[in-house]
Amino acid sequence: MNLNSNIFIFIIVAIIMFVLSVAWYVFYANYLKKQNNMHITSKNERTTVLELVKFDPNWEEIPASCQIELPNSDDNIADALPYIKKSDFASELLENLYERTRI
Amino acid sequence: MRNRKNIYDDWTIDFKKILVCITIIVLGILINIEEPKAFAVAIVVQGISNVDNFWEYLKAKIETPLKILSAITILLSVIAVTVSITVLADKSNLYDLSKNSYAIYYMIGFAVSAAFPIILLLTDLILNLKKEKIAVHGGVENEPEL
Repeated sequence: MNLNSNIFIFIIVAIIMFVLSVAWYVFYANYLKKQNNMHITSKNERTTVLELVKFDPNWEEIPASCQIELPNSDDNIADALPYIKKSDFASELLENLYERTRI
Repeated sequence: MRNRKNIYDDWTIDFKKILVCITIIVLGILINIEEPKAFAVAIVVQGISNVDNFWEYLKAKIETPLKILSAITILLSVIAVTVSITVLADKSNLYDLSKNSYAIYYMIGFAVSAAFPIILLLTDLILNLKKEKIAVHGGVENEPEL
């Protein structure tokens, strides 16, 4: 009677542990999978990254969108580059890009 | 730096600890036929071992679910150890199947509490084995991509 009870206890405990182990493994494997796919966790960051990946600007229009005054009235920026401060130009360009794209 | 995904780095440690846990619990349950205090002693030994093993993972840089389960393990072990020490100390019949009709439920409950780390260790063992398989066959030493 006692031996049977003890073996019964052992079997019940083994079943409980097995079920809990499987449940935990499934949960933790899913958790790790999510972690691997989503290093960037916040929704805003993910959206920004997705927008950047999708972003395909019309590169020919970018010089035209730059609102700084060039020394030459010439449309070709390459001609004007020697006369302007490149760092200022780059920052203006980036600002204009930001205003247009908001990313 | 990213959090660790495993409790132990080596699968042999997981395996050893699982074996020890199963042996202690099985011996405790089986010897309980002759000696009603044997189960209480087994629970005390395993419970203290659990607290000792998992305490450091409460403040380690591991994934949050592992940390939570470690805390639950410690909590359950502490409860089981406290009750079992009480049984040993005041000669109650909590685990005596012949005198206490509810003993079987107490035994199942506290055996699960003391054997709770097996859940963590089994998952850890499988993850470590997978990691090793990738390292050997794929030539990659990184963590497994699940």
